[in-house]
Amino acid sequence: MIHQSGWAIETKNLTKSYGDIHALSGLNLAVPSGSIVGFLGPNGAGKSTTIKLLLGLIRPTSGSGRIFDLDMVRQSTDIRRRVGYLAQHPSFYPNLTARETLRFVARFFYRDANHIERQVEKALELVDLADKADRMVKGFSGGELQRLGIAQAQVNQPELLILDEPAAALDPMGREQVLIIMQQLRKRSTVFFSTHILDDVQRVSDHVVILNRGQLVAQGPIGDLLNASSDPVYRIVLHGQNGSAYERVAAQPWVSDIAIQSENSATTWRVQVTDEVRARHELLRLILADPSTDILSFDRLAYELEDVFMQLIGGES
Amino acid sequence: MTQTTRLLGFRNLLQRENTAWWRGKRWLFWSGISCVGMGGFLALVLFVLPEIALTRGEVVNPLELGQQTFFGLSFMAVAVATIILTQDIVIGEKESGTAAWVLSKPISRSSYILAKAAAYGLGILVTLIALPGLVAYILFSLSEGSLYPAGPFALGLFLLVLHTLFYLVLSVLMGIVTNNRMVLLGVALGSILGGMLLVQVAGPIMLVTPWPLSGIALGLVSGTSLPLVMLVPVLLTVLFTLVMFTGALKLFSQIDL
Repeated sequence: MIHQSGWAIETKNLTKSYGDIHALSGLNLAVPSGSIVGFLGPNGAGKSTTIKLLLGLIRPTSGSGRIFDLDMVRQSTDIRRRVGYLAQHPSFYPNLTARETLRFVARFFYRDANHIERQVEKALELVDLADKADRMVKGFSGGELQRLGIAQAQVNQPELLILDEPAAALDPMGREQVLIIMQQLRKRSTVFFSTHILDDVQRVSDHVVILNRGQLVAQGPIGDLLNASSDPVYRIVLHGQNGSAYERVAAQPWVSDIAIQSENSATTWRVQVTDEVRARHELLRLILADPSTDILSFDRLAYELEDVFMQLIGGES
Repeated sequence: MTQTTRLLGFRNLLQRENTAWWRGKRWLFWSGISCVGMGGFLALVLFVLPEIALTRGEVVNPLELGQQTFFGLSFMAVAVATIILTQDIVIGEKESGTAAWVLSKPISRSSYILAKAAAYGLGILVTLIALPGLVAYILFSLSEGSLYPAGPFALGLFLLVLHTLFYLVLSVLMGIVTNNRMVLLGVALGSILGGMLLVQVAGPIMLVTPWPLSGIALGLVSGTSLPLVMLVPVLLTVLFTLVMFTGALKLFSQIDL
């Protein structure tokens, strides 16, 4: 559902302090409805604090927040009806089976017993736990617990799923499964998940929020963040004489830097540009104007989220 | 907050807590301990001790001795068992994150505490008071050769219930206030043991505490006429329990999880 404001989550100057320690300082968060948002930050950045504030598990020192246009503090119960939550270290009742755990959660949302059973079955199938449904939770592995955590978080078909480190401590297979499930869930929910695994964020998210030391460092569509991080760089691998080509390219006002690396008979240029439109149109032509130069490859370097993250967090630190 | 909002999720939570109490072996264990332990001790006092005394040429009143044993021991033992059983119900779930998980669902914090107190209250009353109380009643009746007067005995048990609820609520409150089990146990057990000692020496001031309840219960079952002032600790125990429980709900609604 798209909400009036267009934001599933919106906070204004949200702050949480414990005495002199500021766990979160003036956070202005805006999470668009219908998106998958990766919530990034190093340990102690304030990610879990933010999530707990959104769920009403802790109270803000100052500032405010709205989820689905509902006030985070005064309408917390109404918000929690429409949200699913997976904690970083899920802790369920050990003596309940997976089915009983899901039934226990579903009863907070539905009254009809048949409907509850249907929702429980669907949730078990989604996370591939149907064959272990009647096993006590205390015997579950870390990966199974995590999958049960996702199942219980979405048993009420929430409009917003908040997942705190959903793939942490999982093996690559388990991680892959969790990412697939998240992509399935995006069809009906906004997904807001915190993680350390930048690769996962780049794979499944369309928006990113980066937090460091309790402060917002960046937020926005992942593409914008990657593009805005630095001037675009083109990598060209050349063969043959290229002295005049170099002079022509270096003379362009939209070229800010050329780094050259020679290896065997090939030379690699990394050309940083300030005007991407002109670079796309002219760069290759300028080089090819020299008939003694052969081009072995030409590509625009894509920034990885990890580069951007390190730039932003490194800069902050 | 409306009444409905305050009790949001209560039924489901209570069902879960009751299942946890009655499905496992815990209730059987505690019922066994209390019935066999208390019953065995009482049988010894009612049927064996008088015979031993007789062989020494002494005469004892088995009923009086039995009443002293049952009510004297029950108040302390049930209070201690209550603290042991409930010391972890809030702290444990706060620490493990289970409380945060449950409270991320659309339920009220009052429901969470009420459900725990109600389920544990019921479990303790049945396993530690009602069942051993029934065993004691049967033994007293066998000892007397006729049905033991039920009214005073029931009143005595009622005071035991009040005393137990006081410590149950104290334990829940302490579990909210602190995350340190040692502090909880120190305060709660210290209150039981210290109270039992102080009530012997401190005189009228003790009337504003729950500690004289044991003596009042004994007075009731032995047919001693009690002065009206003895109602004070009874009423104050009810009041303290209600105040502590209200405080527990208020505090729990404000803590960070």
